[in-house]
Amino acid sequence: MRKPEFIDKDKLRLLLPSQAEFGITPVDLMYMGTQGKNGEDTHCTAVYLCTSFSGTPKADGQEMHGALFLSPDTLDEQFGDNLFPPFADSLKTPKSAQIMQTFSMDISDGCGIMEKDEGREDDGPNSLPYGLCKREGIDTEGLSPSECWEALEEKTGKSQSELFAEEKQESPSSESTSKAAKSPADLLHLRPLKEGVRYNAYDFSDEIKEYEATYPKAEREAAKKRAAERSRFKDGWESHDMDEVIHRLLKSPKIQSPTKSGKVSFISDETPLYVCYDLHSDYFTVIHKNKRGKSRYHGVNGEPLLNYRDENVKTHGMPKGERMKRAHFNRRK
Amino acid sequence: MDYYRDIVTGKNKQGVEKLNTGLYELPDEDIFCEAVSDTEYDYIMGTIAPWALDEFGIIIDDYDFDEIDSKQVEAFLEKIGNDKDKVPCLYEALTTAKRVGGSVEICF
Repeated sequence: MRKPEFIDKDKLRLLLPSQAEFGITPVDLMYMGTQGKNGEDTHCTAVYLCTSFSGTPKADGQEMHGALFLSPDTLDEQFGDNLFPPFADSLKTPKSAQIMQTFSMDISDGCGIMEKDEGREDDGPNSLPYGLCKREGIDTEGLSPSECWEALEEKTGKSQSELFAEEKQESPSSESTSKAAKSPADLLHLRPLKEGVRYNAYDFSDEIKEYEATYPKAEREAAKKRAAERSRFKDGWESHDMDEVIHRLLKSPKIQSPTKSGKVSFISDETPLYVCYDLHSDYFTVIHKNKRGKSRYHGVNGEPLLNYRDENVKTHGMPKGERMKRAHFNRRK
Repeated sequence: MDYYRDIVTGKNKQGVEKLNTGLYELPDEDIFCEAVSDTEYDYIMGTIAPWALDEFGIIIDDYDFDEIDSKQVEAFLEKIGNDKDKVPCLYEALTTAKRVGGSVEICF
């Protein structure tokens, strides 16, 4: 299937509503093709598969409400009659794509799932270009969306991407939504350590369940990939009793719920150090919360690692590889 | 819990030397050390981090540290391209590192 020239513009058109209405920014967008044709009662729809995004999905509470992750099947079964028709049609495409990815098939040739509609147009009468035209006093009667964009570009002297960027800045719902989505602190909370649990042998099953329930799969997979890369060096790291380290360095420690990257922290209000455990790769670090840069990473006894003194009390810088090795610890089980 | 997500590089040859040897204490007038905003952090983690891992094996992650070697600085600048407004702190660190020939440390 030939890649259409409008693909980047379409991607751009996806970004604004994703950010404004759900507070997320799609990262990986795979073009799947188009469905349908424009007619009196129908629209041609460009379909993309998004496998990765940044931000935490949250409906803006104005245009969108109650955002949930649902499988295409569930959507179809429970909400089939009330879905926006082009969206309902698009659900057929990801299902096919998932099956093809399972079999590692190349979907770039379309595999006959859909037809490329050369004369495609998109967007309904309430979509962005029409709204902008109205604001600029352009008569939209009889204009297609792309003609609207052309009229806008001609009138304002700005490109489509510039108009998008301006609209994004002016949109209060976009701003409030992105602020709401960028509050990882909302997802984190402290709770007491479990009684009788030895954390050097603990399987963190409850925390893993919480992690899976809190963060989207794409973000968890990305964090897992990074952790897997980091753990290539695990063999060279020292093993320590994490439970003993926690209780030795921290007074009245509490455990914090998992972060987006799959880290669980043991924190004390009374000490500036905290112990951070990686759920993906089973290692821990000791961090000083008030220090900047790499100097925040401390040794297993709470000692700074940026430099060291030799037997003659002369100070030396810690080489990168050595500092990395001394800042990461395997759990001794 | 308050905590910084810093980007660090040498402002001059002295700063580069200090970072290379590890003999420094922040804040230091020869060293650029800036905390990134939530917006910049999201962009780095969503766009730059996956690419950096695939391209160079550089791990940009919470509660860990890694660095962009001076030889890789140019590639990162290219990757950022027209999005420099989205990553003001990283962009400034990279251009500074390019000018003085140093590396950039990402301490999230």
